[in-house]
Amino acid sequence: MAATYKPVIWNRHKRIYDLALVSGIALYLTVFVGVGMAMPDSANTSIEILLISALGACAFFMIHVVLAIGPLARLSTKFLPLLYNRRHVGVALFLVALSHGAYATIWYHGFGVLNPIVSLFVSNPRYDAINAFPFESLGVAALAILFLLASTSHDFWLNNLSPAVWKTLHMLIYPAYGAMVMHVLLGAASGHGGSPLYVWATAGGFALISGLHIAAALVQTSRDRAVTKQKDGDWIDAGPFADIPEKRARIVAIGGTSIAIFRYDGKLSAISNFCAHQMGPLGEGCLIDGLVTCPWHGWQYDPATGRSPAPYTEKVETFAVRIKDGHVFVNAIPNAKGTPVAPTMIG
Amino acid sequence: MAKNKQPEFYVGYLPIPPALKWTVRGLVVLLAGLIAFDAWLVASFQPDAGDGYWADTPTQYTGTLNRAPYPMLRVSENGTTRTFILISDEKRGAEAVLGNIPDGASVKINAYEVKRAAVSLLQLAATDVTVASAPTVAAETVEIVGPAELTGEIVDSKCWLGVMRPGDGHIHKACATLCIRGGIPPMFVLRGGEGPQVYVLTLADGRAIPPAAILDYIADPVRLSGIVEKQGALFYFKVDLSSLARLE
Repeated sequence: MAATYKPVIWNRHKRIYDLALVSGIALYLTVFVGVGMAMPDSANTSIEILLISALGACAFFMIHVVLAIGPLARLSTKFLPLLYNRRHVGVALFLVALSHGAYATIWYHGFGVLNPIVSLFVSNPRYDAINAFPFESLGVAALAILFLLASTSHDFWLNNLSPAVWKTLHMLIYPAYGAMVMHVLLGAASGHGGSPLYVWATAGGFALISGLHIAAALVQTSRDRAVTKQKDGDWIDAGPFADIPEKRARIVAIGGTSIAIFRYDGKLSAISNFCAHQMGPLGEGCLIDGLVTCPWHGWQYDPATGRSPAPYTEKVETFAVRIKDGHVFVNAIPNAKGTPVAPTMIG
Repeated sequence: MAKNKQPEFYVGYLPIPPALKWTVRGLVVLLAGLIAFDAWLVASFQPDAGDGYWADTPTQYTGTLNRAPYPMLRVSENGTTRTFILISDEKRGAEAVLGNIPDGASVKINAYEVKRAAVSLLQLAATDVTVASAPTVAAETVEIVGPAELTGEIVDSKCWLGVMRPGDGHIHKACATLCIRGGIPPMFVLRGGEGPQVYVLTLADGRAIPPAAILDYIADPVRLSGIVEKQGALFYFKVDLSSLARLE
């Protein structure tokens, strides 16, 4: 959380995270180049081409990591430490992909009779062919999207675009992934010099990412169904309040609304399940020092008002709660963001 | 009853819960293993780079200039003639650098040697090609090998011989096209079948191939018909461009 904008609000975890991130990239490139120079077939490969390949393969590996973190964190809270600084992985992914693209453009398209950028799009004119398709254009498309995502990854853009628009914009990571998959399949995996291994490895990566997203969606659906959601007018039966763990929440999803009902200190309060930051699932967080704490980045809200503690100014919607026959009911009509609602006392 | 056992909850700006420390360490080790495995696997299947060679330092050559079908230099080494294809630095042929120096002139050049198989090429290190006073080096005898229909790939001589390693295949298609567009002599690399691995491509009458006639076919699997000739260490494939067909 921040009351003012800073390029990066560093803390110990972010430093360790970024150190591990940079070390991981260095490990990938070192192993790749080392193995490439040791293999009989590729031992004579130009070091420039080996580096271009290593940077491209590293970027492709990284986008799988970026896409896997979200569903993994939904499946188990043990993965939340990976989610905390995911934006730095995204920016690093862009920088690695940019290095790959820039180096390949200079090496393969520079020093000729055409402008390198023009050459990128016209030197292979076979846009009508599958197996000879100019795969470079797909890489350019992926890189353009990654640039858009990396350049808007800061909270400045998040606040100015609104979390919903920002979130929708950052869903473009999926088209970027699709473009990268096709860039690999129609490039390194294609034609003379291409290896079937790249096809299988790409298919395996796609299956992994798809499987994790499907598993996370199934688990989420199962959680939603676990709540009875019987309606009494605008009031929704969210099940026995006794089953809600202390300082934790039950999430009620109905229509486009998702509500987190928290139990704490003998009371119940309900607020929107969507964090004002990146729409993280507040209901999967817990109360720390009396404040609802988002599991994604630790943004906090008073459960009775939906407001972040001063000096922060973020607010989320609040909902009325009542207890009847041991069940907790929540009113589906949201109050304006930051509207205080007296907690409902248990017993 | 409420379940009071709380899972360890991670908040980025708070001290990490003790039990989660080991989970995070395990994840880091697992990720490092995955990184090393993926890098090893992908690097192990890099395409064959060939056995091309590109000298690090330039050497001075004196010999007889040949302007057609492509700029070449004949030098005498230990009483035998050796022919080098000439190109400029960057992705351009040597024509502009050679200017008006006539065919058959003796010249002195400073160049980086590029070679693969029995074919050698010289990449001019500078634009100052000087006319020298030296005896003419005689051209090798032309031997007609005979008509042939070959399947393979059109490559640019500079990259395939050793400047790019590998300098063929789909990944290199755009670069090869750019090189040939810039005047680098095209070559034909055999894929399957028996015979010499690589040929200098010319038209049936022995003139240089117009780049525009083959740009769309470079680096694709193709079939070509023509006459194969041998001159010294170089094989020439004098082709009928109407026979050029893509194999897909």
